[in-house]
Amino acid sequence: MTPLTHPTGSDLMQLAPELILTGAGVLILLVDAFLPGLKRLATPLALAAIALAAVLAWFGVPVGVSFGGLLESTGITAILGLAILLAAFLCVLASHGYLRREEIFGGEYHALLLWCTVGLLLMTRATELLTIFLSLELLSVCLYSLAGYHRRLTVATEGALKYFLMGAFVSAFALLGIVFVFGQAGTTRVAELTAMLESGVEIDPLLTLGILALVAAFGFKMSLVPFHAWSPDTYQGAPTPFVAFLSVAPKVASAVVLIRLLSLVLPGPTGARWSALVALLAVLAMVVGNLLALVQQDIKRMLAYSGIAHMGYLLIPLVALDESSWWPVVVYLLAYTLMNAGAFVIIALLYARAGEQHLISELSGWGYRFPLLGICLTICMLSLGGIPPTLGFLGKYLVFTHAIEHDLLWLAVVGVGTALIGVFYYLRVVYTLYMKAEVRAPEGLLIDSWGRVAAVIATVGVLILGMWPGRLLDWIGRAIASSF
Amino acid sequence: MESYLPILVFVVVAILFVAAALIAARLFRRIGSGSLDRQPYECGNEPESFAHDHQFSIRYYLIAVLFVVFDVETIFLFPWAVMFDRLALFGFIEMMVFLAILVVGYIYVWNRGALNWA
Amino acid sequence: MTVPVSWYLLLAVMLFAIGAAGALTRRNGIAIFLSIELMLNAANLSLVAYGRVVAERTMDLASAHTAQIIVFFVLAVAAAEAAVGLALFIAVYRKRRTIDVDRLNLLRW
Repeated sequence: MTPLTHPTGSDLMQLAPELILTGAGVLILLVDAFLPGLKRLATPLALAAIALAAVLAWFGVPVGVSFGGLLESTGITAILGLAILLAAFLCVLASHGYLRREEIFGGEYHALLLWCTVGLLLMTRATELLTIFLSLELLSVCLYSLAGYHRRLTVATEGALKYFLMGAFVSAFALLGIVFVFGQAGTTRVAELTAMLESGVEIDPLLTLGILALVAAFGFKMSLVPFHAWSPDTYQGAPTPFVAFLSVAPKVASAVVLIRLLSLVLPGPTGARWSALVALLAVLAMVVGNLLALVQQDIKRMLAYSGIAHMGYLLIPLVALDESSWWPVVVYLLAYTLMNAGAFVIIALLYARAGEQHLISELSGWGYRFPLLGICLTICMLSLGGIPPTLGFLGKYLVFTHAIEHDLLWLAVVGVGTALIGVFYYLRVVYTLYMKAEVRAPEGLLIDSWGRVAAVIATVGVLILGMWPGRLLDWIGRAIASSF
Repeated sequence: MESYLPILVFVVVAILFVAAALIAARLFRRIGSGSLDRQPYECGNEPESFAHDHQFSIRYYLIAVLFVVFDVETIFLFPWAVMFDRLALFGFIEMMVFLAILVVGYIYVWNRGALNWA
Repeated sequence: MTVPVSWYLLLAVMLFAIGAAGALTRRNGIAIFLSIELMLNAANLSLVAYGRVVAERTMDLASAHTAQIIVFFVLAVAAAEAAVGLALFIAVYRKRRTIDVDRLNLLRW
């Protein structure tokens, strides 16, 4: 019999951020159930837990492998963990006013959000397929419930049900993929799989099929093109401040898993075919996402399709995957987190009727009525369009230069071309904000200081980091260098 | 192959039993006694309405959903119980944490009134 | 004589295909979900079978145990998913009086 190994203190320290978040979720749930008078405390409690988890994730978690190779902590996972926690932080801030306005304030919302964050943090660090699957399911189940949280709204439950059915279908494929990999390789640990594939044994087609199924599953979570159908519907129905989280955090974590999977197969004998597949996915996402975003009248659906396009740009550095790919990927994910979450936070504040369409035209002239939020939304839109001097520009610049350095000029050309389409529809929002006459009176809005703070944090981040990127790039560079 | 013989015998006996019961029923029953034969069996009472007309209380589904979750989570108790000796104190604490989280869920559900039938 | 492992795998793949076909063609939401559950259980069956294959190949019983433990986790996950899914079905049914996915078409671009 193999000897049993118990987790050590260092293993538990690795899990400290997740433990804090889980415990805070339980606490919020119990406060909500037994002390209904204090339920408004859920917001500060959740914020404090996320902040503490962020501090622990950066300073407290020892770098290295833990739980006998189930989890690993590197500089990269720490930075991306911070991006996920930042998205959760902005979401909690913006949710306070929204939940009060819609009269659906409840601790379940915050608890589910914290547990979802736990799943995401674990998924970025998991180096074993079952652990990846379990964290994927943990976060998925929380996302399904939160997407349908506003259950008075018919669109909310309908969007959530669609998300659930498609998500469960894809999970089954992910599981089958894991089964095939386990059956052919005899292990579920990424490190052992890497060693096996590098040793040059013949790769069984079933193993390839398994990894393909897993890639498809995480492509679904990132809403890449053949698997994107859920995202516009779900975004439209889900509570808008939650979409600020849904549209960024799962994509960050899934991108890490996708890179882990691709690093298994790209160096191998079939690497060229995998590269071609990734390039195809990137082009599809950029073209389809941008073209469909162009025709949207609803700003949430527009951002859903533009989010698909952004994941296409993110895939470009993965076509020629090596250590240098992390650099554009991490910067792009950070930029996307700030600007997309920021945009949804502001949309949550500016639209009052949650169940109806959020038409872009309704923003006409509001740049003058709400100067602060107008400026913030403008900067987020410029950043999403990749216009300097914002962080979004920096992300796109690094992505395209990486492609050119790796002899993928055609991919960079496609990227720049589709990005120009993007600039058009992002600028249309800015144009509507400032150049058109008002069409609706601001009724039923609840713009509280929590929400304003969220909008300002995101915008200032996008702008300051975009104008003076030196320190950020130093920081990311050190983290990446320490990861290999 | 011989180890499958009992199963074969079992299958044959099962088929024979069903066939015998149906044939016996056909031999002994009265024929053509009218519409009463086609009514659902309700202990001699006249059926009041069609089964499709009745809607189950939404509580029924709620409790069914809760049952599914709490029932299946006990699956982890079995391997723990089998390996109790070797997992020792750490395993015990770990399982208590797991159960505590389940209990929190239970308390929450109770507090929300999901278990009240009325 | 024992049943060869490949038969289990064949059965599992067939079940998975039946489930996938059902999930794609059925219109009733519950039927779709049942098909997805069938897919998960097919994956479980192949896991147990593969566990035995791997254990024989590597002469190490631990692989078979790994597979069986994964099955336990998948069962628990499937139950949690079922609970959330059924709750969503109830929420949708209360609003729309149907769970026919073709008629859930408020959201169209």
